[in-house]
Amino acid sequence: MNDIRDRLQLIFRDVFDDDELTINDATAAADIEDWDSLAHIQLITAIEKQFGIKFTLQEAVSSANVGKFTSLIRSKLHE
Amino acid sequence: MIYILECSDGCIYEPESLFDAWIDPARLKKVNAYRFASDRMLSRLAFLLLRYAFWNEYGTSILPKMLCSQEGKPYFVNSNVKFNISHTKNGVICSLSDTETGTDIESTAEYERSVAERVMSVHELEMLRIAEKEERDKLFTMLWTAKEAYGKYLGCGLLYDLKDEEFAMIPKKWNAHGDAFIYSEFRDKYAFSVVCGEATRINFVTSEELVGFLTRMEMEKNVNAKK
Repeated sequence: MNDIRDRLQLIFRDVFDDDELTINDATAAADIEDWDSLAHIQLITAIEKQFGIKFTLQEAVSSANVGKFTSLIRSKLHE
Repeated sequence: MIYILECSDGCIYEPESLFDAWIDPARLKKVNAYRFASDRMLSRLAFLLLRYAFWNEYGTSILPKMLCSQEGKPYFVNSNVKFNISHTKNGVICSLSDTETGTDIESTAEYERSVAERVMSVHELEMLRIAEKEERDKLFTMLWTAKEAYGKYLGCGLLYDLKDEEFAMIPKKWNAHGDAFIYSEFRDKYAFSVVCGEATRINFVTSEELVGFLTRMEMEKNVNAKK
């Protein structure tokens, strides 16, 4: 799980262009400036590319925080 | 009726809680969940712009009761008036109509091919491909606002086939789109789109007008309280 979180952190730092950004399971859109709907799709696309997985639109839109992203990634990797 | 307030990070008055008495409690809870002051202010302004727009159109600053649909779209209860609001770093937008409506506003985003390929139609991708870099970013942002505004109009947000729904329309004009009309524009640092059952006018509100309106409401409230 730490590996997933570490890789997610790098993705978040890249998408939001903030090398100091630190995430945890509860991190959601309200916690990061400029995390709007377009940034959300940018995150989804980057995650899919990084982990070699594919989300449905429903999965992508309903992943409201880092914890949910992490669980979803883990389940996709085990499919 | 579309109302737009252009601003930078929402810093048009302080302290940030100055006009909180005019914000719906459920909205205020959402406002205060934001970590950054700029996001809190922009979220406040979106609601306050709605109140201003309602007063301007219907002669009252008292809003009908508001609830959210299961999909998260706010609406007025027992009212024929429909609305939608959106905010971004450079502006806030509110759409009021007698028909369903959806709106989105976004600060200029940098075009990313992988993101575009996920959400844009074949024709939209081609338009983006042939555009010059600066125009491409603007077009990408504008197309995105069209897709989100349409989803909000439908009431499903982004949960529809984004790639299948094409928005290669003429900007700064009302374009027919299915049963509705869509208007999209790119302005300096942001783009916005509105989807509505009918073409309607677009009003740009200054921060002075909005703050002036809110200040007058505060004064009237204080005068009435003393009576």
